[in-house]
Amino acid sequence: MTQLKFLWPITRGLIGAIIGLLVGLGVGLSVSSLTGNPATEINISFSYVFALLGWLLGVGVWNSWIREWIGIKPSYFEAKNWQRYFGFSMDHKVIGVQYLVTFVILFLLGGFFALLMRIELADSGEGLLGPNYYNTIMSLHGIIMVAVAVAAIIGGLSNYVLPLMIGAEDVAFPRINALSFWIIPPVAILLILTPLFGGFDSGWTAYPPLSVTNADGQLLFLFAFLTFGLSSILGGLNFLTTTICLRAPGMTWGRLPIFVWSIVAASIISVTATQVVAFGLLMVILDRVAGMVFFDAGLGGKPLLYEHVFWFYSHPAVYIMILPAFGALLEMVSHFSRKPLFGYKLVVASFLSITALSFLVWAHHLFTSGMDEFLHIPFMAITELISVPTGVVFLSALGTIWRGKLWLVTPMLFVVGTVFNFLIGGLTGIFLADVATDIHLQDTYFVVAHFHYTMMGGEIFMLFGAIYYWFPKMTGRLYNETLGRLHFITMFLTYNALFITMFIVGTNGMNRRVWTYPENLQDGNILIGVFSLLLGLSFIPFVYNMVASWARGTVSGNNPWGATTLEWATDSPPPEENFAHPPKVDEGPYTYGQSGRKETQATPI
Amino acid sequence: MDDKNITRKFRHGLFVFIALIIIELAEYIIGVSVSSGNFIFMVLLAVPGSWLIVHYFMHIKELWLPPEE
Amino acid sequence: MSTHSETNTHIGNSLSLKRIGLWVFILSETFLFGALISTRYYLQGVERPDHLNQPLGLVISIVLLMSSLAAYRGEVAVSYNDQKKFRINIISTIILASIFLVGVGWEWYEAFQYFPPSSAFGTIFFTMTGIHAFHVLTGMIALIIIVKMGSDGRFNSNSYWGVEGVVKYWHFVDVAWVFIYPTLYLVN
Repeated sequence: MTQLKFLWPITRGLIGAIIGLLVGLGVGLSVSSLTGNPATEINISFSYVFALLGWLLGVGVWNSWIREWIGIKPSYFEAKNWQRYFGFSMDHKVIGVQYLVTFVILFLLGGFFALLMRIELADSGEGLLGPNYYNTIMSLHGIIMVAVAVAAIIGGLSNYVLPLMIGAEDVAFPRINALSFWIIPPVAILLILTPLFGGFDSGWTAYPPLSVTNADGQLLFLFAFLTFGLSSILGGLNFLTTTICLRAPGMTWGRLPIFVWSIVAASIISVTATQVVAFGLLMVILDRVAGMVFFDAGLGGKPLLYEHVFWFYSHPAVYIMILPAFGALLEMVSHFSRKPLFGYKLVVASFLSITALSFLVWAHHLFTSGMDEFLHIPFMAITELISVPTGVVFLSALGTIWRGKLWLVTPMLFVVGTVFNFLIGGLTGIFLADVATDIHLQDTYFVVAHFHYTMMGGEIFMLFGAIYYWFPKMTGRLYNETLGRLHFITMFLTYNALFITMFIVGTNGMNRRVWTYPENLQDGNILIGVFSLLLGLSFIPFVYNMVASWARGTVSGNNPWGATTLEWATDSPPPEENFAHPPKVDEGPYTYGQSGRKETQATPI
Repeated sequence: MDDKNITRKFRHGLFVFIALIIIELAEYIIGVSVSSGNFIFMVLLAVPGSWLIVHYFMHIKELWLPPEE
Repeated sequence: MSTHSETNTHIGNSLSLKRIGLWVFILSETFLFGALISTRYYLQGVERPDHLNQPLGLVISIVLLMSSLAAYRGEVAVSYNDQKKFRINIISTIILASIFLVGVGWEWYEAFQYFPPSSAFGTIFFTMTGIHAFHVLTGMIALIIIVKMGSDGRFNSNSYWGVEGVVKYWHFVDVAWVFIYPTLYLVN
């Protein structure tokens, strides 16, 4: 029995969730009998909110947090080795791994949904899934991948390495950090439950009026997204405060590794813009549950309001996704080219200007929505302006590679692949930012291919590259280089074949979000289906590599890459307090090629 | 000594409060009497009002001070 | 693991860390209220219905401002270790906050007759006052916890972050109302 003690927090959380569910159902039933509004959605809402509270209290918030407020001695989760990952641990390294494993699993699940979609689309008529299931699966694929893109690098990798990189012992608020992870399981469960409630056919954007009138599954989606937003806000708050307050002595702002800067920029967006989308989702929930009329044009509402509010978050959100990827890219480019990062200050400036500009471009998603026409040109101009700082990031990457001594191990291969992919993603974006071309390309597979090139080709490629890069730090072991390269080559080739075909199908008139299409597009779609299957298979070496190397890979030593940043100055994996001797920083992060440079930028005090 | 300081700070709080009340009353009078186009007055009154709270009650200046301890 | 939150203290100043964390949270909340207020103007412009109880709005605004003053006095008192004044002032804050909530409830009761949630103005009115009242409610719970912690003797003139944080949040709720009140009741 004592061996199973580590499962106690999750069990307590589940018990809490069930109690909460019942209490919420009771409240919901009494409210709906009072108001006479349609009862199902009110019951779902109250049940979920109370179940979420019950889960969080049970899983650890009560024991390690609230007890302190009311004057009882708090009790913290304690476990060893792999059992640490199953409880309300406050160690940022444990939470980072929890995040990473969760989101890699969700990524594979989302990819599986994509394969299901391709099976339906292999036939221009009705296939395996049928319209309703196809729409639900398509929407699930969308929201799960968006969640992965938002949280995998920030929540997973930066949670693990950011405190190490700045020489801190932990993040600023360890309990909030744990909370932001334990909010995620209810989100995943809600999403997976949606098909039982009629699914949701709105896509991840959930535009009203459809999202106000469709099946109850939509409400589950809305709550899931709202809850996920909360986690994102808490995460951003933590990283901002950590970087402002917990830098090691000598770690000035100008000496921060570029990855930390990218997380700062992304965190600024996630603490601010996420509130706005949370409000947008809340409005849809209120329209559905409380009978309000935000989006009912007949009674004074405006459906366009949602699109503005939604994209006010969701466009900056793509920078929450891509900025950490840029950060990781430049980080690795410098280490694996054995050269200082080219234009460090310019890159920092461009990260910050991307952050600022990202709030001013949202309406380029609304060119065909009936928005006032005088807004088209300003939004087009600002959208194209944002490619300038993005170009600086490219310039920095290429300038660092230029005459460098490239070390083409797996992470660096992913870097080179990302530079290639994002170039295509960026160039095709011009056609979508231009009003004249966008009006024709809107809602075709051209758009789908474009954002997969930026999000998957840019961010997900970098996620995998960064996992390989920091794997030795997290586990103390080396991954298998041959399998890593196999993963990269298969993923890179099938990925490009798949999405270049999508561009072609898209310009030929293939609409997105449809389960049926004209027969003359069938060949292209079958091709896409075959490539996506191959792309899916390319992750098998990755999963095997990670699991097998973690269990019995070669011991890596503290700094297998000979990199200069601070996280490589400590043990692999780092001790609980991160640095046995608190480090003191006395030079910049990328000192390659300088005479008399130290092994890393730090000396122990 | 302490009592004197408390009284002084309480008095400061009272002054800020009175200023806020005056602002609220001015807003109310304008809101009731000016029948159209009073938006700009509301902004002109609400912004200083909120600044009073943010500055005197929430001590936003602490963000620009070097850490004391 | 149990000492994890304590081990941070030697790096940097933990009070300024908590302050910055709270200010970042307040910045985040500002965007929520900003979205709320923009929504009102986007949907309704500066239209306002005839049956709006403006005097009641003024009264509850003043009540909320009074509660802010009381909260300020509570914080000052605890910073000079005056536990009695601290207790009295924070408890008055809670009482004033409940009066505010009763006022909002009264308004809701009236609003249901003239502009129910299923009308355009009602949608905005109930959402804005509702979200704000939710913040008031959470602030009240926090204030109650503060009173309990204070009576356990956990605050003194050197260490009163709990009071400072909650009071700051309370002032922020007040700031939000300073904008919401004219937006809902007065703009024309």
